[in-house]
Amino acid sequence: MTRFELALSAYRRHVGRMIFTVLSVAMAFAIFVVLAAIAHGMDGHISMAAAQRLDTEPAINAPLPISYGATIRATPHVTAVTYDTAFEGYFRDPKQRVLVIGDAVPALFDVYPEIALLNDQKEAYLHDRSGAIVSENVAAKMGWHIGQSIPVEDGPAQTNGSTTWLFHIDGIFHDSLPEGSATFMNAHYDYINDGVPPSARKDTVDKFDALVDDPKNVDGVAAAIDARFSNTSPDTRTQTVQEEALSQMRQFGDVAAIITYVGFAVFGSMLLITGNTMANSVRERTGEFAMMRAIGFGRFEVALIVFRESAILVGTGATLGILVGWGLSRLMAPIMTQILLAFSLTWTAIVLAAVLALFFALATGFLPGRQVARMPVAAALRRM
Amino acid sequence: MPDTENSPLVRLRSVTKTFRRGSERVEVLKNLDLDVPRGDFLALMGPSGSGKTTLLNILGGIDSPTSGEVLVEGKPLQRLHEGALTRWRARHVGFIFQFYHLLPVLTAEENVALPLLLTNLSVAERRKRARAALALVGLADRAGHKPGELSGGQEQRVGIARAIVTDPTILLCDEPTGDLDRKAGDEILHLLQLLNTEHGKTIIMVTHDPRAAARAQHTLFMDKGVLSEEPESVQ
Repeated sequence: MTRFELALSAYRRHVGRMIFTVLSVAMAFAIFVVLAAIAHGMDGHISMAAAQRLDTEPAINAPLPISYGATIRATPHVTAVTYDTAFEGYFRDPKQRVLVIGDAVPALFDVYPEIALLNDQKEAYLHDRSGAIVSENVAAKMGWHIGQSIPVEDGPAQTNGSTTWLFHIDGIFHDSLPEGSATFMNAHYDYINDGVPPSARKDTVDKFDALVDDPKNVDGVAAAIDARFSNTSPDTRTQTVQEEALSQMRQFGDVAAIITYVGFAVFGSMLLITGNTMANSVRERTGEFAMMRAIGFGRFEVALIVFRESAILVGTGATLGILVGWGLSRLMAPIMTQILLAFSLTWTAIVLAAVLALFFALATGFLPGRQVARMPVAAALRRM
Repeated sequence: MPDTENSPLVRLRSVTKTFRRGSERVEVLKNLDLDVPRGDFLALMGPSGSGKTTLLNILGGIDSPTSGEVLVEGKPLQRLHEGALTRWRARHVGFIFQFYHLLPVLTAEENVALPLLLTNLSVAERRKRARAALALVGLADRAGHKPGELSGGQEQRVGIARAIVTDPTILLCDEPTGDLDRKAGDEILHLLQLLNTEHGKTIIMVTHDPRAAARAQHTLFMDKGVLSEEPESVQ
């Protein structure tokens, strides 16, 4: 028998209690892992936004004329401008939603240098009006490959009356977005704009993205752009992509704060449950610990036995919880990536969970460990 | 340097022990002097509350006297700091309890091996010694049994095996037959006699039972914190 086996043996007394406590710890860690995946998704959303990019949108709910682009490009410190219009359709199954973003090319690549596309694929895309590019993650998720024709159904009606838009995958790019990106494809603005019949939306864009020469100039440029259109209709609202991402997230409320509060509540409950279990377990064995002290176990050694027991309890629960959380995050990813650009478990979250597990093992073992270390041996033996 | 061969193994001089019970001071041991020679088998008899167990605890280093001196092998226990006292206890004292205090989830062998966790012995060596101790108490064939699967007498034998597995200098027994029927009690007393006569263990045994005390080489009587050689003062 080793010291570890001695600590493990404590859980053979009340197997049911052990199982329920481990499950409560596992549940707390599973929730933590899922929350961490959400937080990671929010970070991914925000971190993709380059500090040098400005986003110009209509201040009211109306599309912007494409002619605004030349004015924005002429603004001092602006080095490139792209624009887009988007529609949502589906691929084969109405549940497989696809967001088609019609971009101004080749300016898209100037404003979004993180879209890393091989030169031959980029050339093919630039010269193919119905071409499209997707990220590696989207290609893997949808099972798409280069050269494949992708019919996107349920889009806006075209001049010929069809609502099915046909695209060709010309390139698959690697971007810095985390795993689990939402399903969207980048197509040509001109292909979409030319395809729709004359209407109020023709020759308009949803937004402009401008690249500024230096992050310190973005505020001044944003103000200058909005000032330029202040007397036209529609006027504009320009902000950094970072600010835009944040304001989008705020639509869900203060998600970060909610995650933090939920995390505290879950771990607080777990701490109480596990601490109570440990305290009861140790209290029931006062005589045994007194015997151990009598036969030569020191204060530190008996406290260490209790710590080992709490480490086994919390460690088992945490491991189980992380595995369950990982499985849940994989299951939830298809749904969550409709809201967040990323939803996956990171090593950072796993390491953080391990650190938290260590902390909880120490926290739940501390009071019972101190209790057995401090017990008066003779008095404890007499009480038995 | 004390003469460890000729001097008593255990020597108590003017030992007193006082407890506080609320505002009241209760003197449990009163100015005790005691010499226990090496290889002795001493029975301590007396009524409940007379201070027998307190004396045993002081001899084992799990309680300390209020005043006086306790020497075991010439070593003054009260001068040892707690860590050293704990190590001394692990090496030199074997405790045998009335209610055995076995861990119910461990097998007999694992219970016996428990004190060996404090040594640097390998797992294999610890197992070997635990099995040897169990064989000595006649329970070699019960090594894999848990306490719940053993009779009271067998449980106490496991307790004795646990006490002797480290080959201690002195065995301190607190009512070792108090929870057993007469037959099992006789077997335990026979075993203790064997450990005393065959293996030279010094044994100090607290008991209520005159039959048990009769197995010892000497009997001392305790009443109201005072030791005497005559039973008259004991009620």
